[in-house]
Amino acid sequence: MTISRRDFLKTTAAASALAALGRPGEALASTGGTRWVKSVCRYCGTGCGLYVGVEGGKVTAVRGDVQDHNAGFLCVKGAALPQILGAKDRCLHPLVRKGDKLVRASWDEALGLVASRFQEALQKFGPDAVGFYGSGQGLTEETYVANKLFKAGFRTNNVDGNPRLCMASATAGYVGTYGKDEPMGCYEDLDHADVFFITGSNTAECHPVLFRRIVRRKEQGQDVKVIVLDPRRTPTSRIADLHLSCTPGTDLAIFNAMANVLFAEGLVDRDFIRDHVAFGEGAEVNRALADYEKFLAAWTPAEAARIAGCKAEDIVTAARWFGARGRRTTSLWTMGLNQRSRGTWANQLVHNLHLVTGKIGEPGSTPLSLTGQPNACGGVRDGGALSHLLPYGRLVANEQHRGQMEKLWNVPAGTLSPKPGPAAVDLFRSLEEGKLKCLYVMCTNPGQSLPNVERYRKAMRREGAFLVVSEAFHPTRTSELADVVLPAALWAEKEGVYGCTERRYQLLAQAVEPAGEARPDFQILCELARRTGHQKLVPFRTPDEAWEEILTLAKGTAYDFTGMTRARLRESHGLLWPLPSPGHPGTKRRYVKGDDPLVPADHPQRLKFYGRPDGRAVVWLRPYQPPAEVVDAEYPLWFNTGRVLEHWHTGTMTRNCAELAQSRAEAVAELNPADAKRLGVADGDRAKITSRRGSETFRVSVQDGQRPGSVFTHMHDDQRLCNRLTIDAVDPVSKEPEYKICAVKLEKA
Amino acid sequence: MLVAGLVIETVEGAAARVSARLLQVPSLEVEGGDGVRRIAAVVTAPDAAALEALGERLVAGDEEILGVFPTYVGEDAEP
Repeated sequence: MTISRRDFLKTTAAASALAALGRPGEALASTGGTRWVKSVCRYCGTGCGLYVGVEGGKVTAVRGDVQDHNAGFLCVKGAALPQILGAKDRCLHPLVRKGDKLVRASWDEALGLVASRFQEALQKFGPDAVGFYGSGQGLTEETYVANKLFKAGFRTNNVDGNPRLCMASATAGYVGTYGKDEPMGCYEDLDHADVFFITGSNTAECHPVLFRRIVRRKEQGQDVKVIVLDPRRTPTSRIADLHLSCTPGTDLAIFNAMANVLFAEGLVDRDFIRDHVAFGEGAEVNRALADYEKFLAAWTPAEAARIAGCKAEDIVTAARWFGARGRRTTSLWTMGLNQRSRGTWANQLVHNLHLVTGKIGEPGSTPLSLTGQPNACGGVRDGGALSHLLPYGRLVANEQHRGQMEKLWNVPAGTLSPKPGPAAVDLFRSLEEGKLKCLYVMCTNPGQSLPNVERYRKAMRREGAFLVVSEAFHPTRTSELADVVLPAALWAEKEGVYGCTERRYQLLAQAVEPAGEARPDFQILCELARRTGHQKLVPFRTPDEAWEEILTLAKGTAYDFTGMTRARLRESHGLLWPLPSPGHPGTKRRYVKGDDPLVPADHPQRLKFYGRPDGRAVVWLRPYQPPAEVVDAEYPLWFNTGRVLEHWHTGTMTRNCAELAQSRAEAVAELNPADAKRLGVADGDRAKITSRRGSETFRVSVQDGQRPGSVFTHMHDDQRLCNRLTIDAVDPVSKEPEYKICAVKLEKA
Repeated sequence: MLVAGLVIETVEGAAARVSARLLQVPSLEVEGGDGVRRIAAVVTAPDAAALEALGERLVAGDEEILGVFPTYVGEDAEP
């Protein structure tokens, strides 16, 4: 019997949908001419497993992996992934700047130019004249090679990346509270929670597959409550039992007031606090429970409500639901907390709520930061590819850690610089100041994504600055500024590991050959190492070889994933670390005795926060502090930026998908009806928005859910740059910029 | 032509009612479901934009549909 191509596709589609319902069809076993290659979605940090369908050497289909955590589900972006590979603006060959133009060049010419300019800068000005700006979208092996080449080869810590723009405050929050980065919970906690505390996250649009899981839990659980703390009423709020809208930046006061209520109403777990918690203020763990209770006394719901512009009774309700005895609470957050000048504190105050109630380390009870990029966790945070980090929890400033890495990398003692390099915004300021001469940008788009972007776009084109951009697409708002553009292989065109939100590492197998002359970043960086005389340091021929070395760096650390051999990754549908031996199943809940292999079996309590020397997590006394810029008579509106379901980050990929490009591709300015009326603008009008840093014009979208006195715009539009307006103030601990809050004025254009 | 596998999430207990209504949608074939809140379906559409538009119409036009989640999208060179 023969079946038509159309019938085969329909059968496969039906089998895929039925499989997602737990009823696998027969068609998935059929070959039908399509080769299915296991992979991971290229977009957000959820890390949805999928299969790439290849026919005739082209990616023609994707289907969700029913055996992965996403149970076969994808969002609309993931389903459209095949289209990005053949996009009309794929960068297919190297480009070199000649005067005002970027012209086609050979790989030899382009890489020869990069190597010579970097070597010249190193010789003339020293190690800190060169830098690397990477991405939470690069594969772990790619980021690893760059980190090793720059830190141990070029001897500079001028290595940072775009996770500094999205997850650095979450990292600083985890490290400050538990001593080590990364969440202790997992996605499975969503299936057990009785209360969801979603704050600073539009989960419905930014992490739709996880949101679906929350919706299912709400439908199936007993009286499951959803609290959404967000100035905007977003699609996430549609399932909220309580939407707590506050003045931007005032959530710190609300978190403290919730803690106040928890103590006042006896909803804290004093045994848990006694056994597992320490208290700190400033940078020191130097306080006691009594100090904390005294601190909280001033943070009454009424006082927080006054600051936050919300109802005190709503804060009380949120606290009561959060702390209810016998109920399990999961907190979820993303950029609304992280992209703040007090983002670290905001993170820590959420952790406080879990620690004082003991709602942590049990199924359904956990603080879980959601990640924005597919490999910000695995490649950059865990891999230590930030300016203050070394791989797997080690610090540049720690002599012992540097010594360990010098030994592991087989380089002479003293090779690694003890001075942390500049974080992202400061890295581009170094370029502006002329201290940094050569910058290598990989798989990211700072010419659109940096805050106060015009300032740094000028820095990237400054006379004397040499900018290399390795990118799958051209032009982007960064590649247009480059001196050399290197065509990078994209997603299914290469192999490597992604590590997502829940400490889950997954292997993406190569499914097709790179388009045009594009090469994997791994290969490009290894070649750059060879051309700059560091072949011995970077001797890898394949990503597998680099992975073997990476396993040795993680061994014996709190990240230990020694058991994740390449073979095991190839056959698995994601593995959660710690996973210290080949036979280990992985760790769903970290710090939990009996689950986490790094907690001794004879530990007297159910949890051990082994990231800290005393095994205790820290509750921090953090007062409310206002944002770096607040509204005033001249700039009376709060300005906020974010995403929509159909588009992702700077839109280089989603604009290349037909159905996505036709849906909300143009960024708009969302305004409350009352503000629109007062400002004399209507739905569809063009409005000029101005901050102290610049102006941009958007069409107005009048939205009931927009908080009065504020305006929200989208960040994916490359023709309307919201970051001309955003402020480049950063959190003093995490160095993450405050994208979410600044002051603007709006006038009809 | 594109062929997509979808899971359509409905409010609890509405799967049968929604399935019945979906039978009226051209280019959509109901393949099964869990009988409570989820329906497996296959749709064909001339291009990706039409596919997206169909998904939007389903959600906007039926109050008992909570969401439409693709599980597979394949391309057929034939029109």
